[in-house]
Amino acid sequence: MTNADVLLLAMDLAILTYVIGVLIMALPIPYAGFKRWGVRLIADGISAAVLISIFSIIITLGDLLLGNLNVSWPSFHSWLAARTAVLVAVFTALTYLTSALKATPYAFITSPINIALTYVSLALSSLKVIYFLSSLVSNLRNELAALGILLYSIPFRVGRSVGAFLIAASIVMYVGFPLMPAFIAQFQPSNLEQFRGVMRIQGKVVDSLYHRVPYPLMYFYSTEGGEEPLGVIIGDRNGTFTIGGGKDILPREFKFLTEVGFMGYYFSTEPSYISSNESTVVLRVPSLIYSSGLALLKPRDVRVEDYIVGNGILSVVLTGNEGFNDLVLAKLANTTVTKVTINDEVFSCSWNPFEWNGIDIVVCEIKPNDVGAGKLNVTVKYTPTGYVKPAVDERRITYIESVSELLLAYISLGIAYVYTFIFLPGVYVTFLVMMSAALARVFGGGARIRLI
Amino acid sequence: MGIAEFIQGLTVQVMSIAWLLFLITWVIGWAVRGSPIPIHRVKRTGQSLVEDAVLAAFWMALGSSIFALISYITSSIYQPMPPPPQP
Repeated sequence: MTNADVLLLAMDLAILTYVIGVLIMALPIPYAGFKRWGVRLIADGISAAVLISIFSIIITLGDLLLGNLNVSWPSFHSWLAARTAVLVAVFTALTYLTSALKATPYAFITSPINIALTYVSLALSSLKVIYFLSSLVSNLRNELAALGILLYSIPFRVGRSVGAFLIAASIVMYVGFPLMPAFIAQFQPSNLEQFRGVMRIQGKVVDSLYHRVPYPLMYFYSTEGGEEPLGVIIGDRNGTFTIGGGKDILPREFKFLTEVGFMGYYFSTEPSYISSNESTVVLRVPSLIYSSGLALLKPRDVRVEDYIVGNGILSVVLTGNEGFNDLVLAKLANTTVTKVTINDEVFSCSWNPFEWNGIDIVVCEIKPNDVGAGKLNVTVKYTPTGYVKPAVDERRITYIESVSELLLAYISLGIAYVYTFIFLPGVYVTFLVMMSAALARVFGGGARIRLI
Repeated sequence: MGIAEFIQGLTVQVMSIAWLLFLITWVIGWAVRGSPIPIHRVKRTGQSLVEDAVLAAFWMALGSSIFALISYITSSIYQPMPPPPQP
């Protein structure tokens, strides 16, 4: 049944209402109270017919008002999506925080955080209600208005109040929902702004030749010192890693010293830290040259003059101070090295195996007797293999500057969230409903028409 | 028979009953008014019956015109303004 059919039916009902009104007026019963019903029904029939005729005007009125107020439904939907993203990020962060703190001395914080989690899920539910209501209004506005008019036209005022409310809601809510962002922005507490962006830093680990290092083990240390790393994070096969973004609890401003664990060795990086100022960072490991299951470890200050990497050959020309001779060739156990030459002389490696985080690694120390004027040409022929992920439990960064500050921050954040995500939308929706009811009174019975 | 046809049929029936009732009421009204009963209240009741019946007949006769007028007015409101006349 289309809207036109519904309106035709409503028109038939309006005429029926009118005729019933006339019939009651024509009844030979001399009771004024009874006759008044006849007049009322005639007026109802006429007002219903007016509403049916101005259906298109009602629909156009909403669009006209929206255009005049310079708001639109797509912008409202994107605003809703952004809010949902913020809530989901906070939810994830809080969930992670509780699980991360469980095994620490700060486990007592988990109880208030759980309360905050309840509020966040409550806010998500209220957002869901807004999603539901707004999609109902935006998608089914014409149908709602037509249904309202149909109910309005039923004789004897059976659906008059609900019909008038539906018509009023289809105008008020259609204009009102896209105005919600402006309303909430007006009353939003300022401290919500600083929590809005969830910090996220994306990093990439490369070797001395700027080739990606697969599955780097990232260690983050506090600049104030301390043996224990703040976090241990494994990068992916392309050498990229992410901190923050809901997975880590990071302070607003920080600077962490970095160290990379790879093939059983621990390397310093260039730059030696990551900070909150950058959102992307490239960490270079100057002591490492890596190629498909094979790594050549060199002193940091030794430069690479020339290199060939690939097709089972790793050939580098290294220059450094006179007499440098501490190179290490490390390979995965299943990588086969067929030949090692130093300055065109075959070097026989003595391989020492060891296990590092579930990876079998074999290393060979290269200490050539004759380093010609600080220049070494190292060539390794080998069969390339893929690197495997080290079996390490990630420890995400949970940085607690001070427990009370964190608690206070979360309490004020919680209050701000409850206020902005539950209270303000709730007030606004109530406001819209009240306005719809007021407009429905105008349509539905506030005004009395006297015909006699 | 669809609901629209049912309502339309019902409207026609109600309308014919209303016309019939108008006649009856009008007759009863005049009968009561003209009856040789010397009670003023009874005569006034007859008078009011006649008045109501006439009003009902008036609104019934005007019904279709009223609905047509409403549609005409609202459609002329909704119609875009006609283009200015060309010289």
